[in-house]
Amino acid sequence: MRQVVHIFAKDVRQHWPEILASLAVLTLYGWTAAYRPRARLNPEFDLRRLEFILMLLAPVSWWVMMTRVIQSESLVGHVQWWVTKPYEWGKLLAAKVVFAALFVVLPVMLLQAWLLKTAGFNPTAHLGGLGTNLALLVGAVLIPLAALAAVTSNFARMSLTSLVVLVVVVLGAVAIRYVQSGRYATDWPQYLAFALMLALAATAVVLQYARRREWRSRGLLISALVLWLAGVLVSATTNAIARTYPADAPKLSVKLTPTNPLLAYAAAIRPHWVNLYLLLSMSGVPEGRGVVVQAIQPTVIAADGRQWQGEWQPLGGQRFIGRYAYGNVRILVNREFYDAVRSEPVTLRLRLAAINVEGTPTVRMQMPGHNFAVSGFGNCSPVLDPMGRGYLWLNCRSAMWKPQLTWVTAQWSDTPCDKGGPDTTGVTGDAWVGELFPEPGAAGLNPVIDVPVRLSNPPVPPKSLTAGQTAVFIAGAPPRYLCAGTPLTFTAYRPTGRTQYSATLTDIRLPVEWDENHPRRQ
Amino acid sequence: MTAVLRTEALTKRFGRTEALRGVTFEVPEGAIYALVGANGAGKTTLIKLLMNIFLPTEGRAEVLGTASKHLAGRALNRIGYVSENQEHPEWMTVRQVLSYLRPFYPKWDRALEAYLVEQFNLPLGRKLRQLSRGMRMKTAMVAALAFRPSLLVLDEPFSGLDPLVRDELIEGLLDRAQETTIFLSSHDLAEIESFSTHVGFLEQGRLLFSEELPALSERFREVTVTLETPAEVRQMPPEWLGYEQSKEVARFVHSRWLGAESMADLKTVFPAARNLTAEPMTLRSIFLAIARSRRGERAARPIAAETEERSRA
Repeated sequence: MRQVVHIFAKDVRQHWPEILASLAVLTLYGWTAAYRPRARLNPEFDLRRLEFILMLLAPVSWWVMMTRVIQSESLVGHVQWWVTKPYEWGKLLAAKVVFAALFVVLPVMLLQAWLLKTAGFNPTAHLGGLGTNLALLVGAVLIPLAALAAVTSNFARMSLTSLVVLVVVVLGAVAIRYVQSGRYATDWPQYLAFALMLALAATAVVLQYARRREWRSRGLLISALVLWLAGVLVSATTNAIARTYPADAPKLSVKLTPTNPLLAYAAAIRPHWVNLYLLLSMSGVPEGRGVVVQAIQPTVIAADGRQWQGEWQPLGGQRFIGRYAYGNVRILVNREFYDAVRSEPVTLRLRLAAINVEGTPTVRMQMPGHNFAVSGFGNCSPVLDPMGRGYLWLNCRSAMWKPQLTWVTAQWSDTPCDKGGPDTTGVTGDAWVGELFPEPGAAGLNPVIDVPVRLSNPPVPPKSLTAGQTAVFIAGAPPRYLCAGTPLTFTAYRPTGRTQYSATLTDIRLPVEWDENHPRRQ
Repeated sequence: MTAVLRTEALTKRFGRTEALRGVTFEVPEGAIYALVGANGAGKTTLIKLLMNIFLPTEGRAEVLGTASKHLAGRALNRIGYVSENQEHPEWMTVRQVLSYLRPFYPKWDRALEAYLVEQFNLPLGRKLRQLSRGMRMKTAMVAALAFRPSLLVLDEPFSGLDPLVRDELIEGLLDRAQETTIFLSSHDLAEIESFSTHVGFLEQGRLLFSEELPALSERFREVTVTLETPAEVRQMPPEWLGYEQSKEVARFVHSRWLGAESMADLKTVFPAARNLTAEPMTLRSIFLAIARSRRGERAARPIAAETEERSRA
């Protein structure tokens, strides 16, 4: 232990400028991240850009600091001073781990706890999330960084190697995206490959400290990278639908119907493929339950019996829930077959890989005129319109994870809040927010996730505008407000199982291509 | 006497280049062993193999009873190492270097450290990057001596230093020679002749010989034969190196001189010799003779073979 502390103390003495720089970046980031939510409506004081820059600078500062710390006892080469001294490799490695823990992991943990507290969350209630975030920081940032620093002899080589790795990853990702295009990807091979990659990278670090055989360690790292790319490739090309979404006995009997042929259109995306966009509604889903379609496999059958069957294609979680049991479905079809059957009625047989969801008890409340907490969802603040007549939307925040997929409703008031609103004559506004499978660590450096709740039928377009534009829109828009006392509901939907559904659309015409003559344009 | 260093058929290849070829030798405890050879002969490679900086391709080495490939951690707290091409923690002052190293060595002697700092006149407050090469070597030497190592390994420690610094370092080294086995490499023969007890000669990765310095000096003689009438030696014995003959004078180096017995042999070979002298040689002359004869591809192999046989025996 004495040797660990001794080496650690030397590293602190040697690298105090890097430590100070890294802590300064993190502190400034914390300040901007905590201050920004309060400043976001003031265009003179928009800190989002600074926060974004600092969020990028923080890992760069760790990269510089940890590279220099690891390479102060370089593990590559044969002229290092320390290799002929009685360093014990385990203690040397432990000293570096302590350094990373104290000057990267601990500051991030304190920063995140402080940001949670500032946003109105109790940090001790989110220890699991904090732990997950820190584990991801170690796994996704520190271990790869340490592995690269351990197999390079100096900062310049480390920079060059990092650049090469980055280029390989980007090129690999682009190539895989090309291979994957139009196919449904299975997640687990790439997660498994990522875990294996981290294990190999960690092994390379330990091996390098224990033996200093850089070519073996480099070989391990190259294998790790290849393995990860292979995992992503397998993920992109493996058809695991049958295993992931069992085809036996679906719990619901659903039916799909085209709702508005005018809204359907086709668009050529590649020489041999065309995308069909169909607005379909789903019936057979009882109240309080729903279906989220993850992938779709189309079969087009012509009147004369000719047919074309596509692969499983991603649908990106199209929701068919409750009164929102309709959606724009994109289907990739072979161009040649499309051209052959586009002018005649066809049968479209669809297989759906879907997740059944079920609503949890709805949280009903009257909106306060100040910050409020929604159980299981997060903390929300109503955002005042620039003229002070009422609230326009809800600025919500969740801790550590994005919130569970939630349907939020409210009733707009036609009467300004300062003139007697809310009234009960306004239209309903609603919004889907959150995710069906909230991802751990989606927060990144900031554990407080912004969840803007912009309800439908808004008085102004939902995208942020400058103060002048907002005033113009508000002046010409129907007056709608959210007021203190407006009824709000929050209904979270949770997955209950995966399955496959079949639906057949008979005697339909495939939509025409989107061009000047498309009926919707006329 | 136990061997502090021992190698067996130690070989190191870098790709197709064979830097060391089957080197076998021993260094007894208490010796000052000088490994000599021209630049590129393989001295530094051999030292780095001994210090576990390189791994051998074939063969093995033992240092203080530990296989060199396992030499790490605590096994190094009895070994001092100084190399001309070693990196130093240049951001540290001399004082910081010494105080940083102190806890690594259980036997660190602060009084000896203070003595050596004074002897070498080291500026404790100066950073290593501000020091001359000689001062940096002195700092490294203090760091390598202050824990009273059982073995001191020095790779070209005096290379490029001015004579004053060199003498100071040698003096410091000899002060410690009573308690430490010293293994050093050098290509400065005159320098090591003054204090070495053993010598090994590496050439192109091969160890041509490894033996005690007095025995080596005893074994080599520069022979001059003055002849009554010009005569030709028909069969040259392999132990004669660099044979040259003018009309009446023949000169060569005898590499297996056995005193009166060798003199009698010479009289048999040169019956018409008017005068026959066999002068002791300096280490430098011996190496030059060997090097020249190696160029002519003579004598080296038998000598090496003989050396290996001796070391095995």
